[in-house]
Amino acid sequence: MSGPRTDQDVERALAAWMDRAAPTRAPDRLLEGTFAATMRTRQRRSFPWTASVRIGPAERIATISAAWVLLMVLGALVAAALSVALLGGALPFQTVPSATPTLAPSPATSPAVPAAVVAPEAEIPALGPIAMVANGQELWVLAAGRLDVIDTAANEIATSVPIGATADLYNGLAADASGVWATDATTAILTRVDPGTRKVAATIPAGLSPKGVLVTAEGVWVADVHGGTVLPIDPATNRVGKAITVGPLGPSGPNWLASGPESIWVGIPNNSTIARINPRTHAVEATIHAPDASTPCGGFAVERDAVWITGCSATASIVRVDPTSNTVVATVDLGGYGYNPTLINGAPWVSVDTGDAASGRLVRIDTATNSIDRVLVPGPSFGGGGDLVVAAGSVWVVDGYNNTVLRLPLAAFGP
Amino acid sequence: MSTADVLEAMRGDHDAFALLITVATSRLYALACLILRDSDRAEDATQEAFVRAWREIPRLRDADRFDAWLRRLVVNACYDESRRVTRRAEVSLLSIGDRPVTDTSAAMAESDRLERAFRQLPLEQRAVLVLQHYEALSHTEIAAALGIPVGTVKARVRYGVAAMRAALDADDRSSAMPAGKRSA
Repeated sequence: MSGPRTDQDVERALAAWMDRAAPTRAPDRLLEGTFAATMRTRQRRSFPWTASVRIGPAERIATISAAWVLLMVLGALVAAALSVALLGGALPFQTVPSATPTLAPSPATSPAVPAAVVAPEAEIPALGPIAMVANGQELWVLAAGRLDVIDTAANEIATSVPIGATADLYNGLAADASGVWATDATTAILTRVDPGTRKVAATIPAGLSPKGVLVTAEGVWVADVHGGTVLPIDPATNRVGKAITVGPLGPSGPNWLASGPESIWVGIPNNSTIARINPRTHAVEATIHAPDASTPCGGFAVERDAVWITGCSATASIVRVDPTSNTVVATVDLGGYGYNPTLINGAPWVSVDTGDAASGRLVRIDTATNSIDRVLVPGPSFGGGGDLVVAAGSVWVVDGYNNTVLRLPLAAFGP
Repeated sequence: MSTADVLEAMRGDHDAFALLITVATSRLYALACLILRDSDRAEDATQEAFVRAWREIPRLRDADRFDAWLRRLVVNACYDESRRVTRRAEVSLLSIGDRPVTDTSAAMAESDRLERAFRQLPLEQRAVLVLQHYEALSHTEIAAALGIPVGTVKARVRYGVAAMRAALDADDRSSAMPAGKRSA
């Protein structure tokens, strides 16, 4: 400064600084999270004794009168009930079960299961891990702008493959011998990496906002979260086929994908449904409504007689769908947020995030009782919420809170 | 924003509500970022305000005041967020926003000095300064937006600017000292 600084100088500098420092746009997940949260949250409706919108004087008098009448009636009822109860008689009225059937079971709270601590066989530092998949003996970990390849023999990151400026925290990852596929919802690109050369083989524009990705014998599938569609991609040509509409355009649409039995499954939080697609005809064969107490925004674990989908960070539950009847048959309270369930020794396991870096746990669902029957806590500090993968005779779990991938003994997970 | 959309949202139309907040999101997220100086917490605060807005909108008295009402919810959510214990293991700090960086090193240094001085202010003073200089609201409008007297707004602006000036002056003096005499 050439002279003494005045308040006006400070205010001018502040205004200019704020203009530079303010972000120009909000992250997409903010709107998506808001939509998911508001769709499961009821509005507070106005009742006669609360102020109405733009209420006039005459209506106000009527409203106040109605409120008084209602209060007097309620008071009389309470007094009558108390007097009968004090005299030892039965209440003059009894609760009558609602005649309206429940469409889906309420979340079942599992009995408290003691947690067993499991010591990791290895802890591999991994900065900002988002997703993880196995490809043969290798593990591929998606992080912002790169894919880390973990050598399971050496328990270390063997190499990192730069894949561009991916930034979204919720991108998808899938792999098979033909390629490792990673979505980037922000740039609307599907990146294909050659697992042999470990170089980017193709960047494929895919819809408005690609999120979940899946590889099956029929091809590659991408969930376009803002497009309301699932996109089939031919891995021979990298061309995107005709989009399969499964929900409305807009935020918080199709998220994650899974396959089996003879179906592609996708969760669509903005209309609270799970769509089932025939992978050969591309027809939507069923649209299953999720119960009110859950949001179908998480990943899947698919068995022949059960399809499991979690509520991601929107609802702390996992839902069981019967693939024979295409109905929701159970909802299990996870006690925290679960994202990607995985079948280990025939049972679904979920890494549960309870909101901090030291309180995560791995839980198993007993498919006979639809309740949690086993709880593992890996190591002294575990955040939870990341992917679980079985590879090279071990279970591998992502801990995003602590920037690690943990290798755990498979024996701890079964039978 | 259209009044018709607000009225539809007040009647429980989620699509209308979604439209309203889609339009407002970037501006209100920026507002929360400036007040809290933490992108993760700003995200949480903005979302919390939106969820509260959805729950409470049937009781909004005047549809034409939707924008001001929503802004007030965001500022209040920022206050609530600042009182919460940090949930994440990693907190990302905002330094220069997400705009293309064209600043010279001198301008960057000035931005850093302003950032440091601003972060020392109490949240209430930050909020009124952001509403005045980023949202370009008058003192009367800020008072209405926050539900506080105009005199309180003026006092918070005055104390906030004075504290900023004192911090920047102290920074000047520190920069002018010989390197060996600067505090760590």
